[in-house]
Amino acid sequence: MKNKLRVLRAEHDWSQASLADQLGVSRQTVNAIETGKYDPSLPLAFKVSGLFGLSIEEVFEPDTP
Amino acid sequence: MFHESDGAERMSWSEMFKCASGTEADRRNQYRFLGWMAIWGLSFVGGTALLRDEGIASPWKWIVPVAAGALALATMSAYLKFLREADELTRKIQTDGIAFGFGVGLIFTIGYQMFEWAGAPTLDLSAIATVMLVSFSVGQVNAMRRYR
Repeated sequence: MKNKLRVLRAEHDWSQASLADQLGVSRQTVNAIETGKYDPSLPLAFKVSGLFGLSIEEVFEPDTP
Repeated sequence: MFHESDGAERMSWSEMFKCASGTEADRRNQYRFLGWMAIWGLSFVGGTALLRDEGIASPWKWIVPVAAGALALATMSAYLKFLREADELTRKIQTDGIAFGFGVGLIFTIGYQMFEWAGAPTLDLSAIATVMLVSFSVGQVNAMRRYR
């Protein structure tokens, strides 16, 4: 699954640690999501998109086959 | 604008180990689990010494394994609490480790029997626990590497 987390975080000038704090997850989780190595759970995806005031589809998009 | 520490796509091993223990709550739960594990370990060592030296009268000696068992259950309960409340990637890494440890333990238990039939030395039950623990750790490190 692709995502725009890195771009959105940069736009807000947040570090991975600061975003992780706001989401209540570890920095490793934020890093793994950004690099596409880990797909977040649905509650976390909602939390991420809510934090940026966007819908899930605006932050995450499925891999095209 | 990207932050300096976030420049690399992959986290370095040192960076990863720094935040591998998860959130503050994860660390608290891990310390609680490690505390229970230390108490259980001490009870196991002390209990084994007491039982081997026959330092307790017969009817009371059953208390030792029961007490050690109760502490083991408390340790397991602390680990389950840590797992339930853990940051989701930490939980994923832990469960990957558990799955690998269980799989290797099962294969070792069944597979080694054939070696025993072929003449290899008979192993103690504690060997299985050791193999499971070591492979659990290997599984965790592998998972950490996968998600770094």
